[in-house]
Amino acid sequence: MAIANVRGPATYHSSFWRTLWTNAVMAPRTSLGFMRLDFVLGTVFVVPLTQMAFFVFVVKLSGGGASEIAFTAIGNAIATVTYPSVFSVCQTTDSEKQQGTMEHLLVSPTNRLALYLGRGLIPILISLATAAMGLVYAATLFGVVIPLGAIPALAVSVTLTAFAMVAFGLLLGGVALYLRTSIILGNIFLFVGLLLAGVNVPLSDLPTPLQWAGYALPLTWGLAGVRAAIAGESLVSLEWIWGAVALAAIISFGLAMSLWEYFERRAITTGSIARF
Amino acid sequence: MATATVTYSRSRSTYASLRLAVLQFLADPQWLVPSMIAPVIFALVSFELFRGSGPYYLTYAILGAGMMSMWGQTLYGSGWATGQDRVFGTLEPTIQAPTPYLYVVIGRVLWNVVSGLIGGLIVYVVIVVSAGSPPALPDPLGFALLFVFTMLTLASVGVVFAAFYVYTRYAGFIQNIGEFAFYIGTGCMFPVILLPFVVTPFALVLPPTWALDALRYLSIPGYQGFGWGVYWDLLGALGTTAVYLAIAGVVFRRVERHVLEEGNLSDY
Amino acid sequence: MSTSELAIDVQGVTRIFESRKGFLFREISRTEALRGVDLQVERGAIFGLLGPNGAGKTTLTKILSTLLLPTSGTVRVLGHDVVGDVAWLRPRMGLVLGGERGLYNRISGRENLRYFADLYGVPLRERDARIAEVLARVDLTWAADRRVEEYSRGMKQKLHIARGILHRPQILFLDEPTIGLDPKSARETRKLVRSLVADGVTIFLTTHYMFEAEELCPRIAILSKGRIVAQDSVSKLRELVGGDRTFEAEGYGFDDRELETLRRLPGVSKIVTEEFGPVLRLTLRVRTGELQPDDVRRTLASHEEVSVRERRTSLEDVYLDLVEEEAN
Repeated sequence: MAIANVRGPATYHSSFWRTLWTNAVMAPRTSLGFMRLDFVLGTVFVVPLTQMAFFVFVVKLSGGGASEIAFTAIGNAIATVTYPSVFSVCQTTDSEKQQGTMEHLLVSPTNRLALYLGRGLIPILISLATAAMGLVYAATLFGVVIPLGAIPALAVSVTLTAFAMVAFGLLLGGVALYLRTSIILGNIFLFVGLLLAGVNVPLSDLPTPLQWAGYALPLTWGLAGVRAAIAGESLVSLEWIWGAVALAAIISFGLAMSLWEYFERRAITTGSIARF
Repeated sequence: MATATVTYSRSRSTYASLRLAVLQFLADPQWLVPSMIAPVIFALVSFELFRGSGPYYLTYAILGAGMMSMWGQTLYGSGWATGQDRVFGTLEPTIQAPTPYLYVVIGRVLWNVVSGLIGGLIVYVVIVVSAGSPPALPDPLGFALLFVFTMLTLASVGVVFAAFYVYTRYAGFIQNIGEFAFYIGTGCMFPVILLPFVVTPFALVLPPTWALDALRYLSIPGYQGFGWGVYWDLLGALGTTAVYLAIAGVVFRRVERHVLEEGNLSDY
Repeated sequence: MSTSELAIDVQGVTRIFESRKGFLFREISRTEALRGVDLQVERGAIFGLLGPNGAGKTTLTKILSTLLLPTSGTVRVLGHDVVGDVAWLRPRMGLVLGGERGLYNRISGRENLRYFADLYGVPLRERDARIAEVLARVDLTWAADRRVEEYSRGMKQKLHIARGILHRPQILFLDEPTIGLDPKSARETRKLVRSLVADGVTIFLTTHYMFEAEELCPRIAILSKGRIVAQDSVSKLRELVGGDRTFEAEGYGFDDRELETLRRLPGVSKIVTEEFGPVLRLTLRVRTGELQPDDVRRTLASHEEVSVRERRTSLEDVYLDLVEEEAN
């Protein structure tokens, strides 16, 4: 096999689907947190339980009744998706920088949409499992009633939320190209979500500026869809919320793509890709 | 260059490590995010959660948010710095230096105590501004002193946790998974006594549990908590902190030995 | 050589690395990085360790510098056990692992050195002067106050070296010290290494550059697949591979009979045959003696366009012969 093509340079092209698949399989393995099944199991089984228990006890201390407890339990069941989505996707970007592979990714001619979308596929699956486990805890330990008939609508809401959250993670991950690390941002948004997304406190209880900030978060819309599904709301009203979650996912992903492109240029200008 | 045998000093190494932590902090302004912005968010979350639940809700909110903010700074930050040593590849030369690594960690923890206290102050200001009035504290000075002490109890846990970061590159993930369990166990937002009894022995192993209970005795009239009063709490906090600091040396020696056996110091 | 004269005494050292894969069904794979290494280095000398990638050079360097425990065997450095006497040894040894990592990138080179000077306990009254001195010795004074993340690979390498000698160690471990350095800096580094030896420092050096080892190291060991395949002075190593003279004959169509005749010539210890398209190259290791290139030319006289030249057996020849032998 000739190493160089003496007749002229070859131009290879990786298809969209091949790039998507390669990234879906490869990205989690490059990121520490997903290399080990025990940590994935910890994220799916431990985090929803402890986070939910923590906030439910706070509600109990502040004198909340069954409906407040249910509100908090459902909110946290879905909010824990932040770990496998936002947090882990940010961490993947950080890992690429630390291992010095980011520069090679950026210099490759690969399709960016497939590259970034592929990176989110495994986090979406883990997010789904985490949310499902959270809802099981909410139902079995904290008295949340989930009618069997609500499960199909609930499944749609949770799936859309997982997509939207991973897209949001990619958005924050894009910032990591410019910043030294994005894991801190991931941490901050974990707690921002707890305040502004209607996880523990209804959005209507917050001051108006905070409410508006809350509406900018995909988690807010995803959670609204989950709550509406559990409440057995009509398909028409659910469709509106699902539309909003899907829109949040698309906007997040679109913004992520633009931001990656922008910060890619910025990072090349400032040389910050190699800094961490 | 003639050869010489240098003699390290533990206090000098600790100071050097503290100084390095400050330099690294100043070199990277994005650390303002966890140090300054995170406490504001914790304070707002905490304030909203406790809003309108009794006369002392502000105290609960301050303690809860302060504790969560300090977790990030003191406990997580101390271990994180060791994790960063792995990433930078500086863990090997630092371990190879004659100073025991424990004293390097203590230097970092001291800096994190300072930045954690700044975070605590931010939490206090944000909650007071949100509420429009300061919390009703019977003994503000005692509260402030005990708050600093609580920080030190947390720091003692941070020192031991940092050994975990030397032990394995996965420590950060384990700490993330255990974050809310730690909040529950230390009773930062609610008295541990509210939890099922089976949790209590685990909670009492953590020094901040005792210190936080003492803080509530001091600041919330009629507070029952564990029921044994502020002085026993203080004694418990002192005792458990001393145990943590005492075992830190042994833990670090063991961990250092383990990583030299495994040869994973340069993994990240 | 008595034990007290030895800076390094390695006896039967093995090192096995284990890596685990899988969660429910744990799969443990073992890699034997060192397989019974014996090694002696005199005090105040430069000792070179050569070996191909993955031979175990860095593993051995880390064991010697107390960063890794051997699985079995004993290792004494400056007369002290690297497992039991770590506290005694560490202030007395310097380590240069080199590479892009291992430095605090966000602070300046000077601040990096100051930090390690404090950890090593370089006396406060001489700390700043000492930092300035080592920076000057590696020609980094001009960039001392720049952040390390702005350094080139070579500058980082120099800073690694500066850190290694900062506390005036009695023994210095250099793991490929000139890698990434431009020729001028590499030459200055070699000069620095020689001056350190003149000051009484023992140097243990691993390198891929044969000329560097030949230039610096009176004694050399060759490590291959975790085993020391040879350990001696360069001239003795030449003897080991069959002589300090090498003849190279190039031409077309040499046959087995001619090769046999060449093999029987006095002083010829070994012939290696290589093909370059139609051209055959015969490499003859020749012991010191009367044999001349003309003797080879006469043997191959039936062929046109035969060129025969003589050169000194290089360390690279020795290295390739020994590593190849071990591989076979």
